[in-house]
Amino acid sequence: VVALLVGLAVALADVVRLEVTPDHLVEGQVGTASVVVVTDGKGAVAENGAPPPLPAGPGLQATFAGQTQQYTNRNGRISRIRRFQYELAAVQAGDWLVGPVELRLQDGTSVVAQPVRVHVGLRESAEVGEEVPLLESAFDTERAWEGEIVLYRYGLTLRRQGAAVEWRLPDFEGLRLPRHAEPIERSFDVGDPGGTLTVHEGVVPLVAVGAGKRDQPAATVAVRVPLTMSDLLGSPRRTAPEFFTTRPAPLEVFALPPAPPGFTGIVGDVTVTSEVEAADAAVGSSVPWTIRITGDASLDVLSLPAYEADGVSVYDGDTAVQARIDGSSFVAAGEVRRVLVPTAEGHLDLPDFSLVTFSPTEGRYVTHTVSLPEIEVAAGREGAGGAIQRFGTPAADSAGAELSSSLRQPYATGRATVPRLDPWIAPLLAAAAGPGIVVLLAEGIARGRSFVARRRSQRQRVPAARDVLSRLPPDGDDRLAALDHALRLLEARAPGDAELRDLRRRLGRARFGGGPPDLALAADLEVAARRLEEGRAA
Amino acid sequence: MILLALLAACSSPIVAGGHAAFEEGRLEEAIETWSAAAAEGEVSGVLAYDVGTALYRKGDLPRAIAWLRAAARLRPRDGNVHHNLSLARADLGVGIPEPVGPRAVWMAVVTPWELGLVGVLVAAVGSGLVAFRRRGPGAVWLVAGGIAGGVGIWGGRELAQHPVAVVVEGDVPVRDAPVIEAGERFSLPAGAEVRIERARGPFLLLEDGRGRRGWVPANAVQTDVFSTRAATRSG
Repeated sequence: VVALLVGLAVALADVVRLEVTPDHLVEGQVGTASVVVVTDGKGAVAENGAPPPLPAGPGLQATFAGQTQQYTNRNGRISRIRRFQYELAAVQAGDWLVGPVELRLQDGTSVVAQPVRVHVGLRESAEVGEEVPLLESAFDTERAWEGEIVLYRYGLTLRRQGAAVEWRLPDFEGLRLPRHAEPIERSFDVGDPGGTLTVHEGVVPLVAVGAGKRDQPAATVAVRVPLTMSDLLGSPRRTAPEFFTTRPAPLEVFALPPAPPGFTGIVGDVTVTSEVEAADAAVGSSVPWTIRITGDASLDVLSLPAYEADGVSVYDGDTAVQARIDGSSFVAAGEVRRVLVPTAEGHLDLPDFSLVTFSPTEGRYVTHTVSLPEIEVAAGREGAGGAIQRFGTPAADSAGAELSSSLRQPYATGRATVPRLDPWIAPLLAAAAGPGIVVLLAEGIARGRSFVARRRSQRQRVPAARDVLSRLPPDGDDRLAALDHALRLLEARAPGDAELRDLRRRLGRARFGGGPPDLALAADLEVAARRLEEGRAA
Repeated sequence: MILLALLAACSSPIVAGGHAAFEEGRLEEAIETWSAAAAEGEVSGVLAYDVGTALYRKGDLPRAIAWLRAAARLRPRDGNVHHNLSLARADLGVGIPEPVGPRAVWMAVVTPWELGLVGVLVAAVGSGLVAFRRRGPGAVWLVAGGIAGGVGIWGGRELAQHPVAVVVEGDVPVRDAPVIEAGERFSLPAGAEVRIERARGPFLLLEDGRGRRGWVPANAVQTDVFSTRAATRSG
């Protein structure tokens, strides 16, 4: 955590930061404010050890509570983190500012931690009971654009301390985590006249990747409250988990309108700045050019449009992106480094550089234009370009190097040159594998055709007995022949069936025995056919 | 006897002539003899090893490493090549960046054309099995041969497009753009073994064993002689 804090502080140029937890209080409650000062160990901040004054609005009262100090080593760079903590008492309802905090640096300049807005509610609004916790989960907006960052917040406020809390969040279908920012989860206490409140809350940054309704189901939380007794090992015993469920979080994501040329894919409200590190240069020398993008957009794919101008060649360099959740918002900072190499002597007037982003607050594409300075280009060593010089210091005279006596001797026999076989491998492989592949393909095609023909013949339905019975001729020999056909179909299906044998006898009598017509034969055959289709034995 | 006779028939008089000069201590003449043969055609692993060994004996360690790297690529299972290459690297001392490894792990054991040839033979066996109505085993051999051959072809192209080069001049500045006065990112000492990514005019974009990249003039490094032309074409 400390390394991350240092990294972010360095990356986002923070020497001092102000943190307030929570940013919502109720009259009579006491929260916490921290001023975090990160220095590089050389005393970059001209402080004398005294806590910096923390201004707060009239509805808040800040009291210094203590300080901590840590040293970290990050890639060989020693950093010192000092944390000044204040108790922040809410005395009057309203929206109040805490900060800003200004620290003076040794070089005479100063750095400022931006103020934080704190909302103080009326005492009557406090609804946290002893048994029923206060639950919440929602997106920071219910309407977002495709590619926009949305923040999913969830929280639980308990009046019981020491509880173990385990959240089960939705799957966030249609949303994904950005590459450069992690979800945060934290717990802190808030002083309250009715007893200390413990807040467990988290924020998940998500990128809306698909348009449409992206409502998320409820989150559930399991709470285990500690008992007064400990187990044999001294660990606190906790109750069986109690489960609580939040409300579903509605979200609708809108597709972006057709993009104009030069759209970078950045969706968010961003600021673009540019810095060229030299006002004059020589032909062939490199001038670093940095483009910085800051804002609340996902910078996962930071690909800027190409830049071309007469009299200069442009080469892409590194790209760096940092992002974090800062209090109640998502903050991302990206740097794209390029190199400008003047190719002609004289006055170099570089055209502006433009890039297009989509602003969710304005609901439209925005073109950001940054100006590049004019550069005076002097003649360089390269001149008109072309031939290059041998450079670098001559190789060290290693003739006197001590040679190992274990050197293996050169070969006295062997071929001096060999023809390259690489170009022949592909045609040889084709020639070797070709016959086998052709045979297998031909056989596969034949098998496929045979399979298709078999399937086709299987699809042709064999007439069933009931089909024959449903189309019986009205009377005469044709009717008896049809009954015989139906009975044979049934006999083929159930050879030896007793009822079928009886029907065969009756049909024989009716057809060849010269007896009276068996009027019930067709109906009995129909019954037998239905029975056999249902799988029942006689 | 037959094997010896075949070997003698395949042996080049250039190799033997250079070896005689080497044995008599005429290093310059041996190197000249072998190098002239290498300049005329495609160099063999034997010749690359001989030149590298002679350059090592002469004391030109960076160029010895360049030739021995070429020999190691052509004769990856030759212990003599790796022995002398290790000696040359050790004699250069500390401060040399870790050499870039082979493009693929299997190249430390077999050359791309050898693997491709194995693929051809396996595929031919597969075709034969199929012809004799052994369809199942034949298909397996065909697939195995196709994979081996395909990987071999890929390896050959990768080596041609991204050959290994060795810095032969001391402390070459590696720049952030392919121009002489571009900013310097870092420098490479003589003997550093790097991989060429692409060429742009008279400059090469290279990557060293630590993954650092930058531009150097083409004449500051000695490229694997077997792949030089392909590399300079690729840009």
